[in-house]
Amino acid sequence: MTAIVKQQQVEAPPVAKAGYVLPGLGHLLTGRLVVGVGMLTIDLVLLFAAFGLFRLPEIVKYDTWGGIPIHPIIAVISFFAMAGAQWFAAHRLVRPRQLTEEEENSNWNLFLRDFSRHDTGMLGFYGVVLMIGVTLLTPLLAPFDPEDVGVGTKLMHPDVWGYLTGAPDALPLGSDVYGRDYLSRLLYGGRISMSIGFVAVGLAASIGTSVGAIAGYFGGWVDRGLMWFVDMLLSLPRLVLLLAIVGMFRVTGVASIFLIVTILGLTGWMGVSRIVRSQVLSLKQQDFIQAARALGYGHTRIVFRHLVPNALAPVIVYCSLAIGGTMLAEAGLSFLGLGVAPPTSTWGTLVSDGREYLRQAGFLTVLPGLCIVMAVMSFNLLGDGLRDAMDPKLRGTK
Amino acid sequence: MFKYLLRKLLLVLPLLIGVVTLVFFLIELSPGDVADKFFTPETTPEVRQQIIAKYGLDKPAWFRYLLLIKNLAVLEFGTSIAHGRDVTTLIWEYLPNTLLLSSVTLLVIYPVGIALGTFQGVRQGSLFDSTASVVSLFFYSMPSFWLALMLQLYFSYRFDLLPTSGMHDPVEYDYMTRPEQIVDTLKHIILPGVAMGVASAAGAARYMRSSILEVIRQDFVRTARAKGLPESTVIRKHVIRNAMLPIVTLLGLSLPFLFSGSVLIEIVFAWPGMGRLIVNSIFSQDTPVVIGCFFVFTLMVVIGNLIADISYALVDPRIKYD
Repeated sequence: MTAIVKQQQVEAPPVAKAGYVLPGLGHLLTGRLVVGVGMLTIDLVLLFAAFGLFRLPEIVKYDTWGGIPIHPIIAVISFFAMAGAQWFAAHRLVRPRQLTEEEENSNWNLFLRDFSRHDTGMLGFYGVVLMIGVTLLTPLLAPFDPEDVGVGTKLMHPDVWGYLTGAPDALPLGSDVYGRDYLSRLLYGGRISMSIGFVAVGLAASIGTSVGAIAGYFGGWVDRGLMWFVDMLLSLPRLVLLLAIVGMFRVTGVASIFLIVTILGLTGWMGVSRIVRSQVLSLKQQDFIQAARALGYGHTRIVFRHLVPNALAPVIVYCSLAIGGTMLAEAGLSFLGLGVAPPTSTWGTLVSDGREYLRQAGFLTVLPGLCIVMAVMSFNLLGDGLRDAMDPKLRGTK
Repeated sequence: MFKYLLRKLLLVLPLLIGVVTLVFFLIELSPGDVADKFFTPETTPEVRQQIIAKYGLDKPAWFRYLLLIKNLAVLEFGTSIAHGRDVTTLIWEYLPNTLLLSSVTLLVIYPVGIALGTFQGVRQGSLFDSTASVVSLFFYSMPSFWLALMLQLYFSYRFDLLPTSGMHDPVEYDYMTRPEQIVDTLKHIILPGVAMGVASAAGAARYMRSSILEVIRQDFVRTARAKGLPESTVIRKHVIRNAMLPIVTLLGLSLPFLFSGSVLIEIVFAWPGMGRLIVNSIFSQDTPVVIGCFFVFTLMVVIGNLIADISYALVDPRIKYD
């Protein structure tokens, strides 16, 4: 049987070409509001980052890691990659990819189609992209060295307009009690918060997937033992468990970041393991696993090459939601003074530091909290959207 | 039912032992001990030795572990090192305050969340639904301690409507009549109660909404509509009753999370509850209190699970445990 190629030449309206001038404009004009606004926001971030490119020699002086300016290098590479991706997306709107019928009805394409129609999910997607973009571009976006105490005077209030019009004593988001630029501190703090969220959830997902797959695949007393352990850990409130561990092992300096990441990862895997276990329990009854057994594959190969990849979809949804939860847990720990050790700061430590000046300078507490809410909300919206788009029960309802 | 509960209760024992063992290992593994916290470098080694011997810290770890298990078997938690008082009385003093705070969340704020979720689910896709979804997600994504600080900033500092912190008025409480005292406590409980409850209410609303959506698509609802029942009866008697089932479980299961949420809130509002006790004990490495608190927390979790199980059977006559 020959594959019938659907000749469905969807001609994009001519206004879509506006995307070549400014990526996102085309989407906006053709009626795809969320995507358009999302892409235009990313354009704006890229524009600010472009100014940062001129300050590169200055940035390299303070943002180094062991003598190598690793972060500025990453930032420059991501700047060009993101700009390229923006124009590519604009190009795809004008000239959509032609799909064969087989591709057209593939699970992946159905998922993409459902997800791109899920407005709040797309909003979350662009929120997450924006957050990741800002994290990668931090050195280019931050106007000053976040540790430089000489930028402003003590507790200057935010003055965006004054800063943009070049008023002499104005900082866009004010300064903290040591006179450090607060915008730069927020950006650099966000970099740590976001990285902690990602790495910790990655760790949790790997542990949880392995434990769940092993428990589900082997069953019997292995299953019972592992699930008993999971139930025990789940029965302790996470924050209290975290407190107990972090409070006991106080570490200073950069090592504290690794400690926090490890501990958040070690206390966050139980949910994943339950999901994977239930997936594996139903998957292992299916024919393709029988076939793999009949072919004489080993346990390791069956579990990690056949079972786990098929159980991953709900894990991805869970992870997207878990990143938000992890960032909240990290913020809570930092708030108690058990988070990342100074001078490195995260959004959580910024809230906690600002608390002292709640009366005189409320923005010190308000701004980092809003950043946390925005980031966590984006991940939650994305997770909800992914879940809806992956759920075959909801397919075709929109 | 009775047999089921008995079996559940028997499973509690290994869980408690497991948690205590875990906490004990964590404390053993952590660097330093109580002695480092309490003494300055000038303390003579003899005094140090005496104090260490007093708390039994000179014994090997396995011995102390067995002693701990033996003491816990008769619910004997020992004496707090930092407070110098019996751990049981200490916990009895702090626990009611936390329970008071969480009961406000459970009894006032949760129902609001559930009602919101119900309205959203019934009017799926309406402007009200989408607005409420975004708003509840906004609160769901908010760090509770930050919300607490914002409430403090706006309601206490800027507009001076409600007291900043504590559980009573520090000066006048003792001179008040009983009703005045209750009003005073209620005034103090509003901000921490809201800060603690909003996130869980938002969670409950989200959960209730999806639960309603699941039920409302089912055949029995269509049947109820087809036989001509008024829409309000369909919603009230057929949809909500069935949609409430998972929420009941959620309530029981969220009991422990109310406690962990209370940790940060209690610190912001200087609320004398279990959360503050456990944080301070962890900071001062007050081992008996830490273990006692964890014991109580686990017990709460177990009780929460049991309540969830029992009420599940009560609200849904189809469920039979055996």
